[in-house]
Amino acid sequence: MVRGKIRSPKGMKTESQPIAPQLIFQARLGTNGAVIRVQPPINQAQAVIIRQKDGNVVVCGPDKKANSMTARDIEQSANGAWRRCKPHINAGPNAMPHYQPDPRGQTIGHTFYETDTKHPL
Amino acid sequence: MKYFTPELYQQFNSFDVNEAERADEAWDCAELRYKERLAIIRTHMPSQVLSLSELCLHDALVVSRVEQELPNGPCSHPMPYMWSSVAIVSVILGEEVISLIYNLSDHIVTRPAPEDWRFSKVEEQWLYDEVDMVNDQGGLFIHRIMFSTGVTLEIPFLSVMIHRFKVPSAAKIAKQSA
Repeated sequence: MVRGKIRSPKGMKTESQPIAPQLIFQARLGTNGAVIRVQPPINQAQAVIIRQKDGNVVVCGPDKKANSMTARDIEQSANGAWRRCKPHINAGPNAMPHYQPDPRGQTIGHTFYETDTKHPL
Repeated sequence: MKYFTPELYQQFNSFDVNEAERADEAWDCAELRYKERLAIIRTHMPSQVLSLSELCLHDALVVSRVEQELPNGPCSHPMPYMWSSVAIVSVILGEEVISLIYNLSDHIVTRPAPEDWRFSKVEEQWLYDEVDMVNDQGGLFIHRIMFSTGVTLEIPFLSVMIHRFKVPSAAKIAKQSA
């Protein structure tokens, strides 16, 4: 038996690593802008309801662009007009980008999303 | 705004996902350049200006902003007649009122929102700001602020005071007056 690396023939698809699914969580805020996931994961419809009640949610997953788009959809469904904000540089090292209603009014909730460098706890 | 411009913020909020992603990367670069600039000028900043540069007023509701030129009159030596003006920007953040009181070195420059600004102008909220020095010798500073209405301010100042106090709740006021 020949031992060594198994190479896939050219043109053939190799078995890829399983991609972590995108998950949505209710969230609460910690210190230094930290976003803390509340288990278990929820679905998008539940996230919209939480946002309509001015709570916080966070969209997690390996694809930042996809997370941002889902967060945008949640905010759009919950509050209509939205604006997307990067964390202010003094918001704390754990602060995350998010969507929020536009105008803000008296609301305080956010739809956060995970990026390559900003992760919830 | 020199780093966090209204145009860049608009692009970051574009409905075109690819444009928004490009703006996201550009914003990260702007943030890096601003932090590098702050690191250079930090040693020239008096403590109050340093505190201003470390303040986070993101999402604060702007309730008042005024510039008041003080009447020209005799001042102490060596500048017997000098131009003097004060500006106050007051915001509400949570239960606190925070007022920034500037001793101006020149008039405030107010720039209107870009024509295609798509965000609400119903209320004015603090988005982003930059503290900078007019030159690298110290002494003259500038505070640039972008509001949710797309309006930006450039506040040239000599010194600044940050005044904050908690707003008593309506229930507490009613209890005290009873």
